[in-house]
Amino acid sequence: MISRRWVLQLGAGTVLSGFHGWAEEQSAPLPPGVYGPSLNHLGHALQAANARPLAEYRPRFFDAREYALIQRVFRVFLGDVSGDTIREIANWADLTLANSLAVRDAARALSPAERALAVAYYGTAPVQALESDDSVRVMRDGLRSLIGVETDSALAEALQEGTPFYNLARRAAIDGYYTSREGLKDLNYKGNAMYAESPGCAHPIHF
Amino acid sequence: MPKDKKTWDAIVVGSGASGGWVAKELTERGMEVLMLEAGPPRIPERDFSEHVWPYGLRFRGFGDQKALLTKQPIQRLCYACDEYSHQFFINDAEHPYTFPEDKPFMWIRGRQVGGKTFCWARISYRYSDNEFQAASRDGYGESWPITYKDLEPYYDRVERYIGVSGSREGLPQLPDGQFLPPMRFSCGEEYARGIVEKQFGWRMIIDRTANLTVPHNGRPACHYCDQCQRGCFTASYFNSPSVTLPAAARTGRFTLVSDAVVSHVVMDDEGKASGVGYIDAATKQAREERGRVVVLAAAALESTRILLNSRSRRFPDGVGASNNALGHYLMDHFTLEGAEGTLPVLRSGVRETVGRPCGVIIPKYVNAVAGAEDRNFLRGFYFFADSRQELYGHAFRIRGIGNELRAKVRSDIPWRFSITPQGECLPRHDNFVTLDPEKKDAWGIPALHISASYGENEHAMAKRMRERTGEIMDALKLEERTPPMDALSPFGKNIHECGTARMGNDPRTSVVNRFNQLHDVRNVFVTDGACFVTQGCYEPTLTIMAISARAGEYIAGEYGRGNL
Repeated sequence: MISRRWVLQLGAGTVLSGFHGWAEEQSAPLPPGVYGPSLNHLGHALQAANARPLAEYRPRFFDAREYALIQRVFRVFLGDVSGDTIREIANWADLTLANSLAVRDAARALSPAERALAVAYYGTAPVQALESDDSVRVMRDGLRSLIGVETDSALAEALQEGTPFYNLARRAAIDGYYTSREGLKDLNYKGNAMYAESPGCAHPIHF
Repeated sequence: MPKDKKTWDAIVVGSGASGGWVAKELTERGMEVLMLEAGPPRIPERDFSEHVWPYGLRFRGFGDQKALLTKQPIQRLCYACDEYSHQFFINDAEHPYTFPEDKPFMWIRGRQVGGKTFCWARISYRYSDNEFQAASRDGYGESWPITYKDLEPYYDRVERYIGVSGSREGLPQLPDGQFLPPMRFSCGEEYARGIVEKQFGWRMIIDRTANLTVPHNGRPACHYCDQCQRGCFTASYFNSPSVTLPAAARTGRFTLVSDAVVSHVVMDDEGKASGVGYIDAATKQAREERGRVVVLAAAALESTRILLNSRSRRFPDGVGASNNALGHYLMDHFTLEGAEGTLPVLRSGVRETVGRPCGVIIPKYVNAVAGAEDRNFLRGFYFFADSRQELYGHAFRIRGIGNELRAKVRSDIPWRFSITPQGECLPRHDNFVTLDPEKKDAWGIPALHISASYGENEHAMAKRMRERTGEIMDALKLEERTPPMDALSPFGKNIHECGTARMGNDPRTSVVNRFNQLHDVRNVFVTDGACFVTQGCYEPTLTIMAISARAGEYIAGEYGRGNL
């Protein structure tokens, strides 16, 4: 959602809500951690909408050749998506993969009690999957097998559905894209907005 | 303790739902109150993330798993402890507890000014005499020493002040309240409501939730961003730092000290409390404060931990431990998680607006209304449900790649319907907490050992819950469905832990009296969920607030009469 639309929606919502601000007698200093309704949420929302934490990211997992290749793979999975978004997804995938061995080690280092609780919560299979995660190997081997595939159509043919690499890269492409600004716009997502009344079924004859 | 140290009229331990209400009642009735909170203050500009987009986070909302696994290996199991909101949950390494490996207990804690009210689900149902007088109906355990009529005025008071939206339904087993206008059903819920009401004869109603649907008491209405657990800049849902604590502060009789980890109640030679001892979280120095009344409102298990740790020659097992009740009768609701599917009649290529911060429920009928008796188990359960369009999860179920994949994701949006039954846990003496003999927290305070499991009654109820859930899913003709998990949710998972300092008229079998006053020490009160005798199947927070308001009124009256 573009910033201007945020301004309009938040402004409209504030007006429609009938809120005229924190009353004068309520504006006395409050102890730290105690607060009243903020009129500055508009600025906060705009700041949040413009945050791009991985904009200046430098890859730590992929080398230069792999970094270029994974972007081509993501493009095959996603089609006509902007180069900026593809790079953003590649950066996020790199960050995730760069951390994955440490994540696996942390999962293996859970105390017996913590592990028992995780199993009770998730079930055994997801816990074991985390402990035996080998996404680093899958990604490295998969990319290695694609080195030298020059055209995108050849790359699409080389990606074999159902292989661990295919599943890993496709999941990363989908998760990465649909959590991007472009992907959310593509979905026409209508959340994280400001409405004056409860969203709900507005169809007079729906069924 | 220095002799010239100030003596407060009351010390309230804990700043969440319960402590906030007690502080409001006491200060507005003229008492000078010191509130001690174990955690730090939360600053909206720094700590809230309600409007942050996934692409605004380093891990795009999937979380820094390494940090979560190392610092919050237990808290991360809570859905709300994620990349957006992990700051509202404790560091597990600093706050250890123990449990038998075959009885895993999931203890989710929020230590900060406001406690867990930052990330609570805001569900606000009144209990009825189905809950308060359950034992007199079915003969199991103890009934509460209060009835619905005793608490009704305080429910009214709390709802009028904090603002609870909901619909009046006239159901005797789920009393109506002082509601703000209700929120609306989604398309999928409208569809489900018709079928459930026709085929089962059950009502499906919108949640009663502490979110404002209209401006209320100086706070604007909800703006429906649906991210309440990340904080709310507009203070449009109830949490204590933006609702009850400001009310206390405005009296000029309220002092709040954060980062003060209370370890024990200090007792005098006459067997009365003279204050509390605490550890400064930053310096780890031990300190004391004097008070004529001590109110423990630190959440059920923390309040009981403080009592158990308040050992002296006169109270060798802790304050309030003269019988065998303190620490026992721990309860938490159990749920059968994971039941969901796609409503085939509602597939659509049109995105609907989203942002309603609640779901819908099918209230409890079983063993609560005539004709719905089930003799396979005692007590009962209700369902909470939600239906909304899938955001992009269907992309993983669609074959294909490229533009074709993205076009399908856009044009064929499934409506998902999820449903979860939540059941009552019977209070049992063998579900208990005690002080761990060895383990201590980061401040040197003995950690809790928690031993709790679900028993025959819960498993018998779960069987019927599973069957009923399947029948509802069949009636809705859900596709791409996953059934409810076979296992009951881990004890503690629903963060409704109650009991361990239960209320009662008999000092031999209970810890506090009908006004939350310790039988053993008349100037010590426990006002949080520790006092619950039974739990019903509904969320406890509204009842905790009503009980706290009632206790606060009583304390102020007794204090004024010189009885404390």
